[in-house]
Amino acid sequence: MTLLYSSQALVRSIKIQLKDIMNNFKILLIGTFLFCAVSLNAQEFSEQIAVPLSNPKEPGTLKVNLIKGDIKISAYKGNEVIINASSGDFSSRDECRGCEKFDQKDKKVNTTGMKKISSNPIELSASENNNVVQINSNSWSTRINLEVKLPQNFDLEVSAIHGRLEITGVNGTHEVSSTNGDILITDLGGALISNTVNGDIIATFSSVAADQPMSFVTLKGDLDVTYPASLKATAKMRTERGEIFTDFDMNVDRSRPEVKTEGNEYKVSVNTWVYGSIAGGGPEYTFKTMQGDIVLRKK
Amino acid sequence: MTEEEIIALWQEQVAGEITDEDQEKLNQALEAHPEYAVELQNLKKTWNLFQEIETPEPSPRMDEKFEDFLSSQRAKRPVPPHFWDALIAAIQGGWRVGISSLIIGVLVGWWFIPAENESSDLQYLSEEVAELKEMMMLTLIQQPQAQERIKAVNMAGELPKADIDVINALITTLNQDKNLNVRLAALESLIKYDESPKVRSALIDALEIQESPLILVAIADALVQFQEKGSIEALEKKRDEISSGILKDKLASTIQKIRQS
Repeated sequence: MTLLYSSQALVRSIKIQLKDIMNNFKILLIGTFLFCAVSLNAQEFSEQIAVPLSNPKEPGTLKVNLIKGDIKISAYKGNEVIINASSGDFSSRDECRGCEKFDQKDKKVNTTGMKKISSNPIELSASENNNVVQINSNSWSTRINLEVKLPQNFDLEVSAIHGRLEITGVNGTHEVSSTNGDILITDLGGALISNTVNGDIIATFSSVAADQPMSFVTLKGDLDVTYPASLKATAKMRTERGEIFTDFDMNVDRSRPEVKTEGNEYKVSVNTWVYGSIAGGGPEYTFKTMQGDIVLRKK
Repeated sequence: MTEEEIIALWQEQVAGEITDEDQEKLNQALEAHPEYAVELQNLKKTWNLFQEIETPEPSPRMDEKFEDFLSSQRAKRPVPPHFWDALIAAIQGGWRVGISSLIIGVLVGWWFIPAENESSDLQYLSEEVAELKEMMMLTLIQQPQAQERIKAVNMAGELPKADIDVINALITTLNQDKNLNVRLAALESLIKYDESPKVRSALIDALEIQESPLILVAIADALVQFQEKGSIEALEKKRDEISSGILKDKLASTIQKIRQS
């Protein structure tokens, strides 16, 4: 007989508060979820909220901070920001490098062969203030996967610690970071500053903002970035143990070692950055990895 | 012979300077014009009378009077001033005019005479640009957008020489910026000021402050480049804090490289 667990959320409180504070300062606290999910496989909840924007015609900003869980962000033809939050395992567990280690460290007792009946509260909050949508979760113990749909013109400030980030089709100025996950970006417009420690950064740009610098940094992963063929930029690249590849027509200037003489001592300092100007050069694009490769592709 | 000629000859005769030839001519003329002869005779009489008039001797009284008069006139005339007095008088009289013309002269000169040479102009301009860049950098570094802050720290690395404000701003960014990419860019700009002891000590301090392996690896690379032996203690401390992984290996190899340098 199947043991019946109360599969629905025991406590569900959605607070919607609308407040007009001061003249132009509007805070819209969209919702706070508190779930006590009691389950074996943690696939138990899925919640959707739609956040209207103060100025739907203006570009917005999305700020997400997540500790455990994947984030998927994609542009759609609509005026609201639609947030889908679901509990559950990582969508692709093997992509979360270092997660296992993290989980192992958490386990203080041997639970092999035991059934899990404990409940973990999940806290997730979303707020909107003057077109800035903020999603926060302080949940260390339970994974939350987020799927966000938003209008095309949005600036993103996304950071995750254990999770994979997927972003598609958003135009704006973006900051994306994940410590232990890959960052997969497609059809991005504008400029991107991105870092991860243990993951790859794979990005494809449909257009780039002129005069905006970009920066991609990882320690263990690869950097694979595809730009439109009309790109004008100065790439500044450094990999300690990997290789650099490109099909752009790049004017490469490998910085030479500097030798300083002091009496009988010779000091040799090697600046290992490789500079490559594409189409005469432009804003500085930094690519740095320690163990991975750097690939710059032409679309 | 005209009257004038006769008179001229006659005057010569009276003076006793007439030549024999002229005397002959005169006599002939007088004979021809007796009216002249009479007139000249009268004239001669008058002349002789003049000769007879006694010239009075100046009396001593007259000398006295003259001397008195002369000295009184001398006293009336101002005494010719001494050279120094004259100079002082001239200065006292015209110092306002003098000073103002000097100022006007300097100003006109300032205005019209071109600057010494073009290179000093260029130097001045480039200093101005550097100052502007520095101001711009210090403003941009506080912008909310990470792209702007990256621009700012890149700009700081291009300044010909960084003053303490710029270095402090870069150190603050390295240790406090919420974006790791911006922190790394700040570090790259700081490396360019490797002569500054403040930069070196800031990097050693940052070993303790920083947590991200991305930054720690970059700081380790910079310390190898600086051959900064003073950092070994801090590097060893950090190495011992970390249980395992590539950061620990990196720090260990960094310590070795600095020891060997």
